[in-house]
Amino acid sequence: MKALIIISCLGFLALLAEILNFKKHLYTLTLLGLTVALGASFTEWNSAMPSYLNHMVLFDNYSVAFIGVLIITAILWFLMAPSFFKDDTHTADKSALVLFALVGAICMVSYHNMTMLFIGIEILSICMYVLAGSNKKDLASNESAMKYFLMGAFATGFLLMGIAFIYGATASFDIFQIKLYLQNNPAASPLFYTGIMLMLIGLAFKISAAPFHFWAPDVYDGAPIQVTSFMATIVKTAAIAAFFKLFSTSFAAASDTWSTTLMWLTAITILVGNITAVFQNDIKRMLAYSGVSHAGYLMLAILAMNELGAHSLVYYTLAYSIATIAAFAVVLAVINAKGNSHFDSFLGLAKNNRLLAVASTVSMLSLAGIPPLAGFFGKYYVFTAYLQNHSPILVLIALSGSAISIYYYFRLIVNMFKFESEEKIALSYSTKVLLVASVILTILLGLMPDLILGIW
Amino acid sequence: MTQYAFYFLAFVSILCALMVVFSKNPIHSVLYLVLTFFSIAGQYLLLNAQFLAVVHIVVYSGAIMVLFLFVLMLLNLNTEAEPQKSTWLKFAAVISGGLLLITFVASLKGSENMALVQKNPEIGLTANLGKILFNEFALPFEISSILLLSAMVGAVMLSQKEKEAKQ
Repeated sequence: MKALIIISCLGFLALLAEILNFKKHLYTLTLLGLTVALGASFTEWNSAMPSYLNHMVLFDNYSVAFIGVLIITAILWFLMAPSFFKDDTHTADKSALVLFALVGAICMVSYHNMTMLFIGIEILSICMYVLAGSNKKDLASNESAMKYFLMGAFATGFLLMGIAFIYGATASFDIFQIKLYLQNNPAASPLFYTGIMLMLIGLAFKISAAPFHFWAPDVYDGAPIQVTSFMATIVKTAAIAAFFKLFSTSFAAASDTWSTTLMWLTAITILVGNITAVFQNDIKRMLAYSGVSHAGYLMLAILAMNELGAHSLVYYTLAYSIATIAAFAVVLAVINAKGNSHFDSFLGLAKNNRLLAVASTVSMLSLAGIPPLAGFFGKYYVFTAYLQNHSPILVLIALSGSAISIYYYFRLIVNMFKFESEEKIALSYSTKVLLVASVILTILLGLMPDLILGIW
Repeated sequence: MTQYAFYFLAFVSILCALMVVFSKNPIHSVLYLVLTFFSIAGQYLLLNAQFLAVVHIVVYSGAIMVLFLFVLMLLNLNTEAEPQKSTWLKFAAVISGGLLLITFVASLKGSENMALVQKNPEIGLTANLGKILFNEFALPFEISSILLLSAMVGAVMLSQKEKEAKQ
């Protein structure tokens, strides 16, 4: 709750910056505020009274852990994206929108009532629609905003219809009441099952799981690259956390009806994401498809439906977000220097700039799941959680997907070390801090997974 | 009496909804859509949901439809400019739409005696809605202000002219 309030206030403060003329200090102020929010949210760990205002939101350890992941990612994102706030006209607006998006994300991980889930998703989505189109003179950015808006509104329709159906069947929005309803009425009304499927579709769209992933590559490609990295990390983390919470709490007892569908979705997502990523020639699109495939691995944790599933989800999203932000920071630096994010632009990067090469190598290896980096243990724990009560077929598919993914992640690494190039790439101070921090965090989380998994 | 009113409104809304899809002129489509919305608002009244009925008329039939009309007249659509979808796409759309319809209709089976209907038949009255909104649902109500604010900031940001770059 504290993090929610602090970040909301920070958003309002950002809007005031335009009037009160402290735009120059806004960036520092935001970083400071996010750090305070991070600290404040951890004081709520193991809190005795986690629910607020008629159980609208619940700040149990699961929510607090995800809020931690979201705020850490947001701090890293701000370190990556100072250039996004450079233009004079919209500094305050953009900061406010990003912070409000974060508020939406926090609502999505801490909700205990489906109205809060819906409002959280809407706050996050509306901010992202606008930010995706924030590069107003660029046609691709406009197209991406429009596409994201139309597809997002369509998916929200499904989600809302699902919520309405479930409310119709259970007479409650409270996720715990819905669970009780299912326990008392094992043969729930058909309305309830239709509602589950509709919500499944809506949420699968938000995490860009196949076959609802068609928007992702175009939107990721067209949006300003900083916004793309925000979508690939924070939006995905919040959506998967909401997905997990809903299905592991409310719909767990009805898992016979949805687990088969979700298994098919997972298998298709992993295969489609990885196989399509192989054929991409642009890093942004490659990362978009890799994000699709990671949504598949994350869905394995939902299917696992156990304690370890929840814990591994936190670990996985943190590892994935750190690696992805670092990868996008490298892409941003390359775009600034060479004008595009084609695979060929990375030729000879290792000779130009050691830090960029090391950071992108570590993040690519982590995304591919090479031990001893964080990405490996993320996958390891998710697979372990899934195998505790399921047969290994889906894990075999996931492993073959990872094997395919090694090809396109290594293609980038090989490109960087292949040729020599004369151009020097200058990095800003905050980018250097981010890259060093992400390398250290990725290795540290990999060597000591208990840092995250041992806190429970 | 209520039953006759229901059948009449249901007939009007389905007929108008079909006319929205089938009429050639986009302006006619929009006008039929207004009629559809009015008949659905009538259904809400029959369900004792007065607030919803009024909001539905004000927001949908009023604001959104006027917006639609403006956009259509500004765009000056005519049949030649309309993009033609391929037959396969139409075929697939009909099949999937039909499947969705079957699912929806089937899911209404046995919904006559649902928990919700018996809970409180007066729930749709404005006074009751207000009480719930400011007691039980106070937090979502307040958080919606952030949603509206971010939409407003976004609208201003997208429509504002860029300042010329300072040299």
